[in-house]
Amino acid sequence: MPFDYLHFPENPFAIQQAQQELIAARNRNSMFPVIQQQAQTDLARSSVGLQSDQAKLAAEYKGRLDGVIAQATAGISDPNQRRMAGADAVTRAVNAGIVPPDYAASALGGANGDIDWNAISNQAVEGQGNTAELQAQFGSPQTQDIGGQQVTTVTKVGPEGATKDLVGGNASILNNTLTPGQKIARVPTINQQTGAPETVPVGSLYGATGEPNAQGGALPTGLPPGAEGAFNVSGAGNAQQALALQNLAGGVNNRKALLGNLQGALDSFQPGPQSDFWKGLGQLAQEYKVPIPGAPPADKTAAQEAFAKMATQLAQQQFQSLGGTGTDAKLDSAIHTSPSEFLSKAGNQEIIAMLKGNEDAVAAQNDAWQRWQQADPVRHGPQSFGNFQAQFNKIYDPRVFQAQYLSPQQRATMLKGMAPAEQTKFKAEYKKAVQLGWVQ
Amino acid sequence: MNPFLQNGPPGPQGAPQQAPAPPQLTPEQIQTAHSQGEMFLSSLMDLVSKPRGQLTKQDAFQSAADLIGKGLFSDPQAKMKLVGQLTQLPDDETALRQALGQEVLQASHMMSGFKVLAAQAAQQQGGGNAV
Repeated sequence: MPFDYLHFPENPFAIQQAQQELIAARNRNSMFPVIQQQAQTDLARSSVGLQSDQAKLAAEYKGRLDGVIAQATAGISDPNQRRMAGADAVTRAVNAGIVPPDYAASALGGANGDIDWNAISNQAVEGQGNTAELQAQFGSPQTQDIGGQQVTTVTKVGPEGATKDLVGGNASILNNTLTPGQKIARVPTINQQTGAPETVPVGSLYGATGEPNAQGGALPTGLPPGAEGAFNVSGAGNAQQALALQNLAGGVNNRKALLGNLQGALDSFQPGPQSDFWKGLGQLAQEYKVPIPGAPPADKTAAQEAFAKMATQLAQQQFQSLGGTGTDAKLDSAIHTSPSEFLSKAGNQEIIAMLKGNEDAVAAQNDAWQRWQQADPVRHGPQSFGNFQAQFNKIYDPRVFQAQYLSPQQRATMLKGMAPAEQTKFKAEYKKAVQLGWVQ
Repeated sequence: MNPFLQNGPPGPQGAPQQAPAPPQLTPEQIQTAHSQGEMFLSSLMDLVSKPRGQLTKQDAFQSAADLIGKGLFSDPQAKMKLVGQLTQLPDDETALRQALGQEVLQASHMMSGFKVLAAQAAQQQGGGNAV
């Protein structure tokens, strides 16, 4: 079996054979000048014949070298590796006695222009084979960018000029992919849940291999039919609520001052179920300037009158904050949750504490709403109030705000009324409220 | 000019031999020699790849200086031998190419020898392909 000089390093079992070939080649090389001299002597009989035979010999050697170099460099793309492989092939050719060493040295050095190393290197750049011949044989691939994909077809023009689809359709379909920079670029869209304008990264529209995701690689630029009207109604409602909160928050200080006055007035008269009777007796005594036994002094009567007036004002304000437009039910509700001269002092104190806590809660909610809007002015507009309120309610417990106005005994009573798990939750929420600065 | 002749098998024009003396090189030494041999051969190929009419002896001097800068010919004797060979290079380009072609042949032959040695080392270590 002939030894494969060009591939022997890949065959470890050929090492011994390679060594023997190397030794044999050296022996042949050492004999070659003698053979060559003999040949030259034979050829020297005729100068014309000598020149002719030398040219034939050189052409023969060149053909051999071209063959081994082409075989050795096939499939190698790196220009320098092609040259190295070519030199190696020439050396093997010398060792095998295919070409004489003097001719090989001259050819390797480019002394006679027998080996054009630049051409050998450049073939790697130009590619193997004749492109025109390949296309004539196997057809011409054409790739078309249809937007999201690169579709390749292979067609061949026949002798009669007709175009033939060689693969019967698309040869390949490759999804266009995005660069990292393109992936993080943001594009505007409409949030289909809230209807708010927003931006999303382009990369979120496509999968890892460039296929469009559930959104089909496209972004909604508007709302589904009918959704706009619904969003308008919903958005208007949200915006109205947001405005109401701001208006309510604007009156927090007034109402807290009123509640403070109510609390102060509680010490100036005796509230309770019979307070109206005693107030009337005091008013009578004042009007007729007569001492009536048991009638309250003038200042206590005045304090009671003032308390009643302030309680009515507070009820009216609460009525307004509830969005009241004059229905009896809302006014009745406001009156029954307000302090009253007819309630006991302790009862009034508890109601006042609760209402003060509520006012703090309103202020805290408004403060959170302002921060929510500042955090993302585009998405957190008035139409997002519903979403904000849902988030706020997760961390809002009105009792936390009320507790700070209760006496220690009242707080203990409030906690006692809670289940153990509810107590734990309440304490955690209280700590959170302190951290947020909502309560002192 | 070949810096690897001291330890490697003789060149293609050496005297007939019965058997090559097995060089006692470690795999690391073989790898280093192979790497330096590639550098040397690549440098020679750069020279002979120059278009005809543009190759001078000065180019060969410059290449030798670059190789020394990369750590080749570090042995003082090898360096002296190199300088001696460089001074004997012909001025004529065709003759210069012939001389350099001879160096290419020898260097390439040496590379084949290193491949054989590397294959032997790989076989001794339990099989596997060579360089």
